[in-house]
Amino acid sequence: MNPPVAVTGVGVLGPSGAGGEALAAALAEGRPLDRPLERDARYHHPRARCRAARLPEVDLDSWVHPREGRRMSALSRMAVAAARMALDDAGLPRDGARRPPTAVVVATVFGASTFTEHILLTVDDADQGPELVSPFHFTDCVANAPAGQIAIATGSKGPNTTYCQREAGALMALHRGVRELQSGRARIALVGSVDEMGPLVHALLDRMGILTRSGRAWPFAAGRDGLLAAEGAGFLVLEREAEARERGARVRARIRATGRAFDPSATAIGWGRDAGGLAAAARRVLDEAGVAVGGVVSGASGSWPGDRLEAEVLHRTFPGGLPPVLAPAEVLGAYGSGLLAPLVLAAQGLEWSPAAVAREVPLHRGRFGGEAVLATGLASGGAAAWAVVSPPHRVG
Amino acid sequence: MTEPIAVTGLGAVSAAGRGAGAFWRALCSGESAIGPFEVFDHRRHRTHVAAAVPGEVPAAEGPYLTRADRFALAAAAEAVAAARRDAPLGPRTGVFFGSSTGGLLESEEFFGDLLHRRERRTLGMGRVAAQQANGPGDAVARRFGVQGPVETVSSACVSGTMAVVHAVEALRSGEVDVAVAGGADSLCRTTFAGFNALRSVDARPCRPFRADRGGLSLGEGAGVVVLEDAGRAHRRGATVLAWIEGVGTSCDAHHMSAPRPAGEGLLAADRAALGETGRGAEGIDFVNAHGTGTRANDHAEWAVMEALFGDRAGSVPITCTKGVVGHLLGAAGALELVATVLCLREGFVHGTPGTAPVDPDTPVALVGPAGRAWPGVRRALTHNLAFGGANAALVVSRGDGR
Repeated sequence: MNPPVAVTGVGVLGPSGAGGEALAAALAEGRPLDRPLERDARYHHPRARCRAARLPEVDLDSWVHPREGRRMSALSRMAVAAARMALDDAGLPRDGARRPPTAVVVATVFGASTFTEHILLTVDDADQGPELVSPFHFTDCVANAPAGQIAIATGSKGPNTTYCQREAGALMALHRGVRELQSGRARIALVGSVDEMGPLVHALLDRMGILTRSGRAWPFAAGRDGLLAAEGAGFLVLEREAEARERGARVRARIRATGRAFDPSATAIGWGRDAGGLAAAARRVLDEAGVAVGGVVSGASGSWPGDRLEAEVLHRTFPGGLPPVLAPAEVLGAYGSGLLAPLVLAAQGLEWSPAAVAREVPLHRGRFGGEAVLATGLASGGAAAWAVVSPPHRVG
Repeated sequence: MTEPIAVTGLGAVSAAGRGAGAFWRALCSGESAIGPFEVFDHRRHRTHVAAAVPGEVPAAEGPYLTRADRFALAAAAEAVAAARRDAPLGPRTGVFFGSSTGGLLESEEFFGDLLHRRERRTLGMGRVAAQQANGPGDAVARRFGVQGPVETVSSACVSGTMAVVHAVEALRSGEVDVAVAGGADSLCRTTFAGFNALRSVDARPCRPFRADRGGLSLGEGAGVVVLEDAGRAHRRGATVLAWIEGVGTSCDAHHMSAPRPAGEGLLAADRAALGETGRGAEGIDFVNAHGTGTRANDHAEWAVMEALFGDRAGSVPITCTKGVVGHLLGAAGALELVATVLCLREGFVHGTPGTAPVDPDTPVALVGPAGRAWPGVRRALTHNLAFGGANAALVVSRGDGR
């Protein structure tokens, strides 16, 4: 029997600003948080709509001192800030020497793309060339740089993993964090996701035709026209529930089950059609959780094919009728701070105000959750991950 | 002591060519496969040797496949066939893959076209969308009809080892019955320029632990293993090539690109892996080192050898697969596992090319180019460390001794 795992801290930095309260307020208001993004004539199509769910002006000094931040990419700074925010929220020391062994698990879709861009521009430049590539840009452009920087900043010497699994990455990180605790390799796990949205990645997503032209992402809506690209970082602190309670921590949610699957009918760049197989995997996660699920936090983003598959999987997973569904990407955009912080807020009972439009899966309005919640992440390329999270007061 | 996991299939693509057989012949040749290469134009770079996969990239069906994807598919096909498994592998099989750069080589080409407004009909937007690190693992899962968990670890040079660790854990926990685990990466301009910017690349083929070493040599390819739990492997009459007896991971939490000088992080991973075997370091016959040939890494590894083996540190044989096929980054640990299994299976510890004496500051018992015949060899430690401080270790034993 695996020991129960609890969420004891949340740190989030995204288009809603810093912290869980700002995130909850943004979801309650329901207004998309997009902001202008600088057009780069080298990359953007002339008719590109240059807006993204970017970070507002946020003073990160409370979490990353400027002297320390100089040695990090913007991506790593976001990740370190959100990770320390989560530790603070959990009432745990930032100094790893005063904390039990801590694992770090990070998911990222694009990594430090602006640093990679710098390297490529330098290599390409006739006057510079590869000899002038910055060693700093190189060491912090690797996908696992945020995980490494978190480990250094927080003295976390436990297992250190970075996942690149697109839209399923954040829930895979949660799965891995739970496993690190249950296996005893770590007693604390910092799990989360981080992505930045610079002009290059934005322009590529726009040229792929997957970004919304209307200016708003409408998950599951019949009239959806693409996703809103986002940036940010969202981290949770996980602990064995018994140990968390023993140290007097506030348990914010309990992880009931996690699971993963793959749809081999997917293409390298798109979603597949095996809704039955994915629904069967989702039901196995629900069975393992052994609790009635009162809501779904969906990774649906406004993508035509992705949302269509997700709708079908959800309908098949709940043949007796769908519980209320929340799709945070309507407000927060896709990628960025990800699903994890909204998932915990949802399990605690979250006010949620999506736009009233017809959808393949009706989105819940009003107070959400208070029961166990299923989170879903279906990635283009075929990977999928789920988690069931319940509020701490539920027994059983 | 935890239940060992069976290795029932192997596959490799490397500078030695395609297939575990070609890889093994290169390992036994005493010569390095590192040399001039043509994967991209490197005339403006500081150094000019690497371990490129020779000849045509393995062909594979399907759109949007990158060079790394094709390496992964070729190695996985070999491993799955060797394990006598048939596609579709279904919901009780998982794919656990490591990749550091995925399709970055192709992304660089796309970026150049975008920047210079070059039109290339063969490089549409779909191709750039397929060039992320999850490409190789996803491609393997699609090809073999895998419906279980599929994950891509991108933890730089420890990615492939970490993927194997996760596969072992998924088998132990019952999440899967069979795991296809490995890693794939291709050479690309970004890593070539980046490691050169760090002055970590040797202008000559790398010579780990030798007094005249000058850094690493980059390589490319893939290594894949098929893993199963012991009971299932025996019940279906599978040939067990080797056992993975212990796995361990850790993080230095020290520096983004240098290990702790005394190797405490790597040592913690090694000790965790050894702890799972119930035997300790005294049961280890040889070590397949990370062995990049950079001064910082070699010194940290020697410190780990001293801490682990004490008086035996200078006599436990060490081999460095990177001396033959270069540093495959996200695939390095997986290919080095394949090499380690082959050494145990063949009763022969492959050699590390080079003629200079071992650096007296890191006096390891480096197995020379000719290798060492050792019919009774039973157990090895293979480990890796990475940018960001991540470490991972595997304890592997020969398959016919259990």
